[in-house]
Amino acid sequence: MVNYYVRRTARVFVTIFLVASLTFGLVRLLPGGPFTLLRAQLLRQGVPADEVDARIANLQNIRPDEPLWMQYIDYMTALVQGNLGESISLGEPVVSVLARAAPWTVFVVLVSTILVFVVGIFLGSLQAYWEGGRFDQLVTGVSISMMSLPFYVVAVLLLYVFAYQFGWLPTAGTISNSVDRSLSVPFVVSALKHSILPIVSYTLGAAGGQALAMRGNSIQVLGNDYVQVARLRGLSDGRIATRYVARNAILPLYTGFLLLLGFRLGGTVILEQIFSYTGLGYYMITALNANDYPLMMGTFLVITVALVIGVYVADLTYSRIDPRISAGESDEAY
Amino acid sequence: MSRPDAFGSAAPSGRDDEPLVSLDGVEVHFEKEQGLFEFFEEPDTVRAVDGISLDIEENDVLALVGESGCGKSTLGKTTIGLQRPTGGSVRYRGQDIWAAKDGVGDVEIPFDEIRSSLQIIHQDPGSSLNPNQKIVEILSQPIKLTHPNVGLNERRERIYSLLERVGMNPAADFADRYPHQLSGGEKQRVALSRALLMNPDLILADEAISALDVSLRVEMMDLMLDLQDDFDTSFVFISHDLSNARYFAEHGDGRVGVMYLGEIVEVGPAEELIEDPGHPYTNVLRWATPNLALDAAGAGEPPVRKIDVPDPVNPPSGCRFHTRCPEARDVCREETPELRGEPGGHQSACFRNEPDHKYWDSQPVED
Repeated sequence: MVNYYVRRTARVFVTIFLVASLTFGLVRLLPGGPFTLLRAQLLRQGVPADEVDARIANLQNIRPDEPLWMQYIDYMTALVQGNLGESISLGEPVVSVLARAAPWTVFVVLVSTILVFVVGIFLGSLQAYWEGGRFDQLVTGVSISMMSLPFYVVAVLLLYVFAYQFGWLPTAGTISNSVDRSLSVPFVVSALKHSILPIVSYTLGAAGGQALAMRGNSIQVLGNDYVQVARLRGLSDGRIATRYVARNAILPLYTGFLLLLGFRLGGTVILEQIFSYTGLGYYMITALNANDYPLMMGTFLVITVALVIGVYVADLTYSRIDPRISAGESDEAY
Repeated sequence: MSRPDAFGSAAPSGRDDEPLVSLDGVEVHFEKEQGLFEFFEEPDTVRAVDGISLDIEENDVLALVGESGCGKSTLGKTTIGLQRPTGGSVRYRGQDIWAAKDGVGDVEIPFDEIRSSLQIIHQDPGSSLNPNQKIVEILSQPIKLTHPNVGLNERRERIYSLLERVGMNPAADFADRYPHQLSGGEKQRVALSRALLMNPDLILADEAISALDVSLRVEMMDLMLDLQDDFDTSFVFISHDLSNARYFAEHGDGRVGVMYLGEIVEVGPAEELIEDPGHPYTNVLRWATPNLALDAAGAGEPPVRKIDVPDPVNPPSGCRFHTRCPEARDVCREETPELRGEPGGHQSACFRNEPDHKYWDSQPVED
């Protein structure tokens, strides 16, 4: 048992190490190299070559004239120390940019993903109970249409209707400028107002998919003999619905939940751009446009590490939730 | 061995002279799904069970045999009130089950009581236990329902003694396991225990041993019969294997019922039915079951003209077996034989049992 947890934890570090190495390699492979542009600009401005090198080394903790393996070691050492270099476009440490942006993204992704599951599970179980009925047909139809509509189309539509036409909700940002950035009632209200549209547009389509998955699982569980026997025993419908059907139908969705959480972090790149919501995804686009490689690498790292940790937590907790899977019996891991 | 049910069961209500469960002219017809272009056509009806009358007494054993699709499971489920018959009536101690459920007329026995008195053991042990509950939780629920005042310790004790009784030692170890940690035979024992803890009057064992290892089948049947004495239950035992049905009926002192295309064609004590079958179809089953160790069995051609089973949507006219029966004569196409013989004893539905029937003057059927 302990052995499994140790091995699984070791695998997380190996994965993160590989991701970091990959980021380093990919950035080196990009045409022109990360600092060629900056270097050329600085040299053209008449800055002495020594100083240019020093400044670039400061930005990325890399001395460009060193051999590649030395650069790699420097980069990894800095990374372990929590130093992701300095953003070129914003002129401040990448870590502090990320620290400022991440909470907003985590908030939106977490709330919307939880909503996806709550709404999906609720609708899906009702559909299963009334399988083939009018409600089932209606929800299935709506779910499939919502699934086929990309979330960014929904986002643009919602933004147009509720923010620009009716003016009920703000069009951009995480909180309004007039509000003090400290934990207070107006701050929370403003934050909620700004996050409603991103959350709703990020929830609708995915909830339809979860509802269909839950519907399928529930129908399968409802067909099991033990559900029939429970009815024969005269158990109440509510107890059968929760203890017998819902519990067994939700289990397979649980791993999906944590995986989705990781994947949806990446999806915020588009979402946050539409709502000018200054989270991780927003800064990633900013970094891309500005050729700001340190910031790009930083956001990329954070998003992948979040996914790796999501899978890790799913693996570790699944055996607690489903007694059939006891850790150690299988060696499968992602 | 003392009776594991130390609490005693509630005195059965209802009239004592009535059979435990009584089926009268029960029909179960399923309508097939309509295709898109057959909207105006008459819907196809599958006659799963067609006009069966049957009485099951207290501490009775009835073993139903027949080939797949003959309606034995449907008949079983109708008997315990899981399937609503489309015709005829099912009565529990004189009370119509479906009238009690709908609250129609004078309800003498409430439906809840009927519901818990008729239990089932399924074929697939894997799907009959909730994978998220420990064995002790699975077995606690029926006790909580039948004896709400029993405390935690007493409940545990009772579960342990029952687990030991069904041969799961050490009980404390098994009780804390999840279903997936048990073998198929052990799961089936838990399912049996769970059904018994409801203090039922009748348990439907729907192919309950078919999924088990051959070596475990006899053991499981013996266990069911042992516990029948302890718990005062009747069994309806469904099987496609005549030798299992025979073993169960013989040792449980009950009857074997042979079903063909929704009808009971022969019913009687196991030994009589196998030694002296009154219906040609019983003979076919006998031929198809080599381990009955009968002299004539096992050798030669099957005693049927055709192997194909007719479509239950359009069952053959007259005697339903006439398309395959080696003894069929012209009259079998037109007239339907009824179950004859002493009620409760050996009965069969074939004209050949009536010496002066016009069957004997009729011409053999030609294919």
